[in-house]
Amino acid sequence: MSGKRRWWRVLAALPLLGAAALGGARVATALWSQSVPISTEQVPTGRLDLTAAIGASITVPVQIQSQLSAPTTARVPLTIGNAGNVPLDYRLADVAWVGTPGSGTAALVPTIAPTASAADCGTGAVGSALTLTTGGSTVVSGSAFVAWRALAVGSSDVLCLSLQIPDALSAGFQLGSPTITLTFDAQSQ
Amino acid sequence: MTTSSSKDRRLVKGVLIGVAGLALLVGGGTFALWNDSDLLPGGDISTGDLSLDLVGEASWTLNGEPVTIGEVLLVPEDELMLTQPMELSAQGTTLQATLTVDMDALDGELVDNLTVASAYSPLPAGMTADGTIGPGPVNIDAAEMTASVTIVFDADGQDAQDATVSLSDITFELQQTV
Repeated sequence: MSGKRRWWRVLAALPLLGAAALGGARVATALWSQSVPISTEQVPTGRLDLTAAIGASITVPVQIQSQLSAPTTARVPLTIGNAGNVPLDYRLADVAWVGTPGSGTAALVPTIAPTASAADCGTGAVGSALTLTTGGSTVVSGSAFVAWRALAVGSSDVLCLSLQIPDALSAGFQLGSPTITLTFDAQSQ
Repeated sequence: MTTSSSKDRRLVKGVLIGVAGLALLVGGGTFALWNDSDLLPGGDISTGDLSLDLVGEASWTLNGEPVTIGEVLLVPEDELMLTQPMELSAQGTTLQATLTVDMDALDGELVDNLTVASAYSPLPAGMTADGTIGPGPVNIDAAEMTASVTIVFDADGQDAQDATVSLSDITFELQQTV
């Protein structure tokens, strides 16, 4: 048999192979099946959005310059809000000095406390304060304030961030420009 | 002239002979061959049935509390449960099938954050708790039962927020396997 004839036979067999393949596929799709949606409704997922807003002066030197006349403490209101659409719980997770601390940074004692309003943070009463750092080290763990606090949708908490400046600073006190960073965790309820 | 006329006559003759032959083949062929017919023994053969109908009112709970499904806003660790009455028919001498809940149609982000499970009760004879029907013979004829479908939503970090779960993408799948 010549090579040409063999090719013609192969070509002639192709439609048969195709038909056989189609037949095989049809066997698989020939089984009975039914699909019924469990519902036609749509269910949205929520949005978790914790916001933190602080007064214009968060940088320590600004506070000291403006409030050194007040004996030893500078205060800044910090507003924690729920801008999402689901209730949430939040808590203070971490405290850190960032930037370039000066030689006096370790002498500063930042504290944080819940308060009724931003105005109260100036001179009014604040809740039980949590010391955030001492000697430059974070000390928030184990405090009651580290517990979760609830925030309804659209509501906010005012926290009063205070910086206590020791009465007697060392002769070589140079504060530099340190900034304190607070990290909050949030989770949906 | 004579040659042409002779040719015409031969052509007419040929056509007439052809027509006569064809008439014999078409009209007379059936009388010329033996034939017989008889009925198959055993009577009628029936086909089976495999069908699912949702009947009655569906009800939903969210973390165990009754809820209107259109008012739900899902957050991680939420557990939605659908209770849906249904009627199942599965009949066939060799039938094997499965009844499952499928969520392949959900989009990629949500499918990673949803877990779906189903349970059925009371179980008709021939069906097991995992939704397997058969192997045959199976004769489930419009059996009334209730499906409980649990949908657990879970997500980490900021995943799957402001998304929408189209429940029409979650389906009861009744599939013959053999």
